[in-house]
Amino acid sequence: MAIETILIINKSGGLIYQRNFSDTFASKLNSNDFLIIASTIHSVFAIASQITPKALQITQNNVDYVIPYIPMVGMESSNPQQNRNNNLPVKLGSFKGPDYFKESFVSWNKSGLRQLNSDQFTMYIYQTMTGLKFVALSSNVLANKPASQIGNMDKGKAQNLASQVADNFLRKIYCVYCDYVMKDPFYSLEMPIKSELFDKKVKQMVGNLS
Amino acid sequence: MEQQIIYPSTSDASFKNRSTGYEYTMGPKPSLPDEYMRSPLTSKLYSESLNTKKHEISLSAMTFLFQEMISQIHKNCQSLNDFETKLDKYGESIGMRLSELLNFRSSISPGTSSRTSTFLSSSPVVNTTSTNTNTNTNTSSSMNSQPGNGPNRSRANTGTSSKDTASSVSTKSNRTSTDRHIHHTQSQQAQHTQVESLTSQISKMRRRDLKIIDILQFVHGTLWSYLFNHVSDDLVKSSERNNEYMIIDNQPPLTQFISGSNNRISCDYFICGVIRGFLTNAGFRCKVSPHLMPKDNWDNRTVYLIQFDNQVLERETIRFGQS
Amino acid sequence: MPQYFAIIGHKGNPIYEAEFSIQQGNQKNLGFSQELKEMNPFILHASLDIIDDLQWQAVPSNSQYTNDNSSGSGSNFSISSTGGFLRSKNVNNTDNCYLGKVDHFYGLAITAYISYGGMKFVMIHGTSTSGGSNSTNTVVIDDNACRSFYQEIHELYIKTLMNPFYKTGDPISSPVFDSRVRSLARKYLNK
Repeated sequence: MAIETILIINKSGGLIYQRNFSDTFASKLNSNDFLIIASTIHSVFAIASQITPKALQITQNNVDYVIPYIPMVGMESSNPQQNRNNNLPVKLGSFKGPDYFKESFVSWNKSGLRQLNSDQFTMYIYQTMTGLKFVALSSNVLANKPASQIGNMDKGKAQNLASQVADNFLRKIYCVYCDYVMKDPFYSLEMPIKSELFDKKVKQMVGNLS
Repeated sequence: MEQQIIYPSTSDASFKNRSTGYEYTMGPKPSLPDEYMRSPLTSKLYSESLNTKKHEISLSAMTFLFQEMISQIHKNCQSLNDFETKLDKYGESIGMRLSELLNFRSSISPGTSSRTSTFLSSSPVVNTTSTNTNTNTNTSSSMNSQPGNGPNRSRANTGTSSKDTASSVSTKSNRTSTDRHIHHTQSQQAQHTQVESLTSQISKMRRRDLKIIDILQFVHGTLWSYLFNHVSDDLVKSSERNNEYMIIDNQPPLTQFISGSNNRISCDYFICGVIRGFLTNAGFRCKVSPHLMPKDNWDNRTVYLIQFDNQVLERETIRFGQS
Repeated sequence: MPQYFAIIGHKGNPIYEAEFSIQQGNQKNLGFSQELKEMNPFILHASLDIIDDLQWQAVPSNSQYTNDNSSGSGSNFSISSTGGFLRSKNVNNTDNCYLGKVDHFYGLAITAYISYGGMKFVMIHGTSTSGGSNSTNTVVIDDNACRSFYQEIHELYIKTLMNPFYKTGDPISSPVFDSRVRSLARKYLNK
């Protein structure tokens, strides 16, 4: 799963972080366009939560929002056990363990948009409790892939897996955000993120993913 | 009139305006006849034991507290110099207290109770169940002793519901130890006063450090393990200047989340203050400043440069010059 | 035996002072005499120079006395040797917090203890009967009891220091501290 762009949208729809990881989109869009995209996503997200069919809302308690934990998404492939033996401390922040978290988790995004498929890209959205949205644009297009490429797996299943991986990944970005943005005394809330450390970490994670 | 009084044993002018400690008009309070009947007064502060109880505090809680401290100072200062001095002052008062406390604690003979220094805890990962119980007790105690920690901890937890935020950075909050004895009744407490006093467990007081190298070893070992749960990464003497020593930390935990190397290095003045307070209080006047020196893959490697005053060096040559 | 005890800060400023005396029944004369009471702070401060010097002596004991004489002849050493000379014999050499007897003044003995933070705990041990009649008798000091007393005070002082509202070098005004110190004095000094 190659990530093209990561956006972070604050709770009022403002774009606070945007980074391109390849030239596919960057050449076509300027920063203003990204601002527009961010607020559009934000409003579509809000609309989507309003237009959930009544039937679905009633039966909603049956829906399973638990997202399984997929190990080592976006982490370095080296064995963490080895790291410890070399007496190098695992270079993580305040989240313990080599992989930030270890359990499955419940998605907070219960009524909004989670995934958007198109011919050109796939978009995944991870929403936090506080209304912050982490958006990943991926160039992998699952919808168009012929069945032979996916192999035996059902198309829906593959899509589901991709969305779970994306959720796991974006949750880790959120962890990094908690450490390197929220704990930076020089950052003011809801404002654009300028932290180099955060940038570095995100870049590293995206690099590990592909 | 008060300021005209001549203080026989000091020539320091700054002291004259302060409260003297002597009731010079009345003299010391003599012992009262009925004092024998009375048991000594009790208070929470004096009933608590100074002994170590191993506490671990969440790194998140600590960094949130640190962050808030920095933004408070940042708001109220005019220049960078001002900012650094203020942060240094904050650390100094901690260092001063620690120089008494840690030395006293290391006097306790190892057999009688748990040791003070926990050199390099081998496993950085604590399993979830034990950490949870640890976290609970920790919160209840820090609620009492340091009001700042409680709210911060819960804030850190709500942000990341299921995650385990506790980490192995032990911090200053265990400076005031837990109030285990506080719930006892008065009569029980009178009994406990014997137990709480650590002096009975001390067979020999630790020697006061008289040489620069001795006290730096203590900072490098005991102070660092107390603050960060590991010894500092290196202790170096400058080859160029006689009075300069360096304590090196490959990854300062407190400032690791602060972006911008210039910002981060300014925030390290807090630790500098701790070191300076510690050394100055023990009689080694010095200046401490942080310097960022990345090496290998340690991007945040920080060097705390300690410059001792000339008087310290002179004293050392006079006293220990031959040895 | 009355005692006069004081904690002296970094700048020679007193932080705490107390006078311990036994007053049993009608015997009123067990404390310091009135004129000595007024002199006590002066006597105590006069010994601070010696303590200051002993603070930085590698081995504050008699054995150092000869070494000092051979190694140098500065004015520092003459003071330090006086201090070393005056100290009571049975001081544990490896413990440099408790200095033992550092000075005397007409039969009054002065003992001292230095905390890790350079606070000086100093005490004047008086004779049981006041006045000049037997002032030539030197006071005998029980070093072990004295050392325990000082260590307990040291611990109390650290507890005071743990109070976030207490600033190093401020006078200690806590009545709890005072009452604790007095009960310790009863326990160790006036048996």
